[in-house]
Amino acid sequence: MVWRPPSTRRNPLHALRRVVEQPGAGPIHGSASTGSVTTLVSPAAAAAPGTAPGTTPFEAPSSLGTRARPAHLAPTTRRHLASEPEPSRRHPDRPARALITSTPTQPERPTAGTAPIPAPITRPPNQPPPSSVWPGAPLTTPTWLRASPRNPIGGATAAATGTSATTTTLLDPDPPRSLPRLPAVNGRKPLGAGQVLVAMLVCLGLWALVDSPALLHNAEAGPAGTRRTAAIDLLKPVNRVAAALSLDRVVRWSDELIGRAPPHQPSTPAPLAVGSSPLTASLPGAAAGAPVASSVTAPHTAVPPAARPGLPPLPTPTAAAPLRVLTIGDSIGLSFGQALAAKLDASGLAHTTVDGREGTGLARPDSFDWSAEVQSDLAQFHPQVVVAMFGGNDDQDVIVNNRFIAFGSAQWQQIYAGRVAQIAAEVHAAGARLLWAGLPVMRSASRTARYATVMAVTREALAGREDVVFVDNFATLAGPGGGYVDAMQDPDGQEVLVREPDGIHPSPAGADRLADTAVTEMVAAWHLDLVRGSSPSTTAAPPPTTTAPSPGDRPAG
Amino acid sequence: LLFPTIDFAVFFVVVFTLSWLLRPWPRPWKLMILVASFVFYGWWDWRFIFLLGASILINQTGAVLSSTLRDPRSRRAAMVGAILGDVGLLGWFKYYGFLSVNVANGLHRVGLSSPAPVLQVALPVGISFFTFMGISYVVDVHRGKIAAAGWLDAAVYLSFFPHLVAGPIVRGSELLPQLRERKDPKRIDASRAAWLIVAGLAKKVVISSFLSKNIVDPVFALPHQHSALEVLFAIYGYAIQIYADFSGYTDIAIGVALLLGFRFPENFNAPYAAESLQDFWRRWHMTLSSWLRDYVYIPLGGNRQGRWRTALNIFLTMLIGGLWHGAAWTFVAWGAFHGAGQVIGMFRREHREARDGPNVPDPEDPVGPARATPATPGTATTTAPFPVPAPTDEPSQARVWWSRIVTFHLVCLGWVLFRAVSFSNAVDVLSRLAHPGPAPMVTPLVIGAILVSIASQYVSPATVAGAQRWFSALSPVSQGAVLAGCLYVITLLGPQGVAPFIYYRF
Repeated sequence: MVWRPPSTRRNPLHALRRVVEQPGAGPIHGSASTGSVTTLVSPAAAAAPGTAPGTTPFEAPSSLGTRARPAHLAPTTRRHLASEPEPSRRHPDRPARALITSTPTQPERPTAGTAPIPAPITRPPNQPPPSSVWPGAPLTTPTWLRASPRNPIGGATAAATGTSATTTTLLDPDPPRSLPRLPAVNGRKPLGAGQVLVAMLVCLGLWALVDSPALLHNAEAGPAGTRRTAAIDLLKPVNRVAAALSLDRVVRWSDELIGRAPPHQPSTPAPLAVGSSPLTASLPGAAAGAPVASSVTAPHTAVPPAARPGLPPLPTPTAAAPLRVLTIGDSIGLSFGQALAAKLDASGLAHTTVDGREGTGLARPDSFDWSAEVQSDLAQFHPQVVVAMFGGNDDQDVIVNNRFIAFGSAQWQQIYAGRVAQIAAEVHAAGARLLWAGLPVMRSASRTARYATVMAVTREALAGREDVVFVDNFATLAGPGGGYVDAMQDPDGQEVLVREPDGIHPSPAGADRLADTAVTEMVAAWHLDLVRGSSPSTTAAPPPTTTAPSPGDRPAG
Repeated sequence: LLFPTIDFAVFFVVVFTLSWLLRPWPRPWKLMILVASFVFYGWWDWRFIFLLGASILINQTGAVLSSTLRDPRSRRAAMVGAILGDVGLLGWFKYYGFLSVNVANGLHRVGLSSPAPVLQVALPVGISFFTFMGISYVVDVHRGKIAAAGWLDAAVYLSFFPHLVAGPIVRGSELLPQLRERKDPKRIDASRAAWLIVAGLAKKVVISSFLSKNIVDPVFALPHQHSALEVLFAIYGYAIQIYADFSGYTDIAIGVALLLGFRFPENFNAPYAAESLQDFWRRWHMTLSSWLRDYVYIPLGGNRQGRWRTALNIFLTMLIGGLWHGAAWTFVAWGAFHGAGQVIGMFRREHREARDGPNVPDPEDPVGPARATPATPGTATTTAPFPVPAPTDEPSQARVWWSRIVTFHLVCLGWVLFRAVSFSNAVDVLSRLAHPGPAPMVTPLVIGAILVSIASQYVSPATVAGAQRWFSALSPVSQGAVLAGCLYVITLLGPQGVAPFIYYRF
């Protein structure tokens, strides 16, 4: 199709097709557009090959009182479009400018390279150009375009008559330059594009103004980059305007109304840890002895809880007093935790609570504060064992004092290790043991290298802690050479897909295998009797590297 | 780009403005929309834009050859080649892992090793949708239903961003002519578009996310920890979640397209008001249902080769429809469940007609034919995917409601297979229905969300039309203010962050 400049281009909205039925013709059955010619077909011809109307759920059973179906319900050739109560005819863009009259008895197949031959135009005498081609046109539409027994849904819909239909397609020979004023649809008043743009901008602007605290918080919690910077720069003045107008009260009232805790973290920095902490000694902006500010509030604690001495042995779990287990983690940790819960609970000697949050981690407490979440979980569920798996979203910069600390740098490692240690200390202070499951190898070599950094920092942070087990899972879902594999063999030699298509997340079978490893380590480390129902799901896994988190095992990155 | 994100809002404001500014110049407009669509698609992973380009290339080549070659066999070969290309892309990206595992294990059982490696291939979003659109385009051109479009038109048709990743599956005969129309920038049906977009956002962000987080995901993940009542409401909740999620997406897609001046076919028509499984498939994902009818069922032979072959064709069509949703045996079983339901309904109907004569409705036959149903709120009368004429006599309201309830529960039973990660997971979920106990997760809010969602399927069209008319009478600034209020309430009630739409993975 070739479009012409506006001054000479024919407006398809003015192109009309009109169908004139023969008197006494049969019911409308269907239509088919064959290239540039609209061909109206008989009921028999309209039926798609391979179907005999009337006997299947796919077609109208004739034995069920088959009625003549109007054209707009014909099954194979028409579907209604969303914005209109009735379908409109399409207007093929072609140079024809004529009333095309044909009397087909069956669908025509267009011959390649041949254009339809225009026939003379026949329009009612003194008839002005049509004002509308839309179905359901109002009374302002010329009479000959409105629905009538001869033309059931107006000039925009074709019709067929029995086995011999006369098809008359009227294409406006000389359309006016200006577009017709289309009628309101079902009484709805249409808008112009400029008005719609105004409405959209007012909508987005007002919404941004009222909800600016949440938007600013979300922007700050986003990943580092140009988008985050631009969003914050844009939203900060909006937020100031909203505060000046006291619109933040709307948010407060709304939150109170639905009983939700204010979800919006203050964007101003708040103290996280004191300068005497070894974690903060080298942070940017940290003066000796001065508080180091983070971009988030840490309402729960400022200092990791004091470590308790070694915990007493776990009591033997029974059905009446099952082992209380809590799993925490990101999206990978969620699927792992669910598999572990199913495995542990199947023994009847454990009750597992799974707390997994997609898209979270320890690198960005301004987005989700896992330390606070763990404290809440510990207080609520009183677990005896906590199983953690983090890191999938932690290969990114951290923010301190509104400054980004580059991923993998010495400062980053110090900060991240401190967050791991914080969670370990909280768990230990609550009297629970901690198993920290490492991430498996990833399909992407660069991602694997980044996660190796995260895991090495984690391992180091946990080194030497009482009642903590770190399980290195890099090899758990790896092939014989230690590399990434999508599938592994189960004990019967059957292949099992252990990874999702993204090459990051474990499949249910992969999560099951990670859970097997964790159960094995828990049983070995804490002498638990939980083997019932925890049979290994695969055999090809090399034995996991268990904790022994020893200092000095630094990541390559 | 996800629809319910600020990124998309900004993207759309820019595209909307450019679109109407460039409308008088079709070629620049099409180029702009093409670039916008590729940006939209490449937002997830820029490498997949080459896949989209390859799909366009394959289908347009097939369409052009299929319409220009003189030899019918060559035309057919061009069509078949394009279809094989489409199926090949889909098979590689979506089904290779599934097929390679099953082939390897099948060969292992007979002592052979598989020559093909077992791999999981990254799944591009929306590949099933634009592949099906490409197939329909090539086949329609070959059948002579539409003419092959120009390259630019075909590229815009196949990649048009509102329908790109999760439908609706728009036919060439529906969209290509609209690309050639000159749109009137002064006549945008903005009130209907706003209604669709706000309703879609509410369904997705509020209803779907709420039910998913508060009952569906926890119960399906660990069914053994939950009582019968929680499991029952989790199943109901999933039925609502997937409806709200998918229909919410298509509502937004239709609304967005409408703002750009395009009309898309409806995809849902109150599916949980269905009175039979057959009726359900006339209301659920209607563009897929009609696609399966036209490009699978009819080519298989339709109903012209005897009742048993008809039954087989129906069953196979639904089986393929099930597999289309995902590369797992649970999806195949889901398709088989619906296929069997339709076949049983067909036989029961035949039996009933033989006994009582035609047109005697059997309201206790939940898989049998339904009465012709009127258009539902906010939707145009739609062409039924599996059309059945209306019987002449009407059953009582009690019987109609009984049919609806039974059908809803059959559909829910199918959803268990659909949602479960494995057959054992499905069995675990269903078996928990026999374990009564406390149900702390069945909160008034959960019950309310489910009931309101079901009740919404029965809202009078006049009510919806009245609301749209009232909205359309407001000034643009007032409309923007009302929409801002709706947006605020939606974001207030919704969770932070939005999960991808369920149907993205299909």
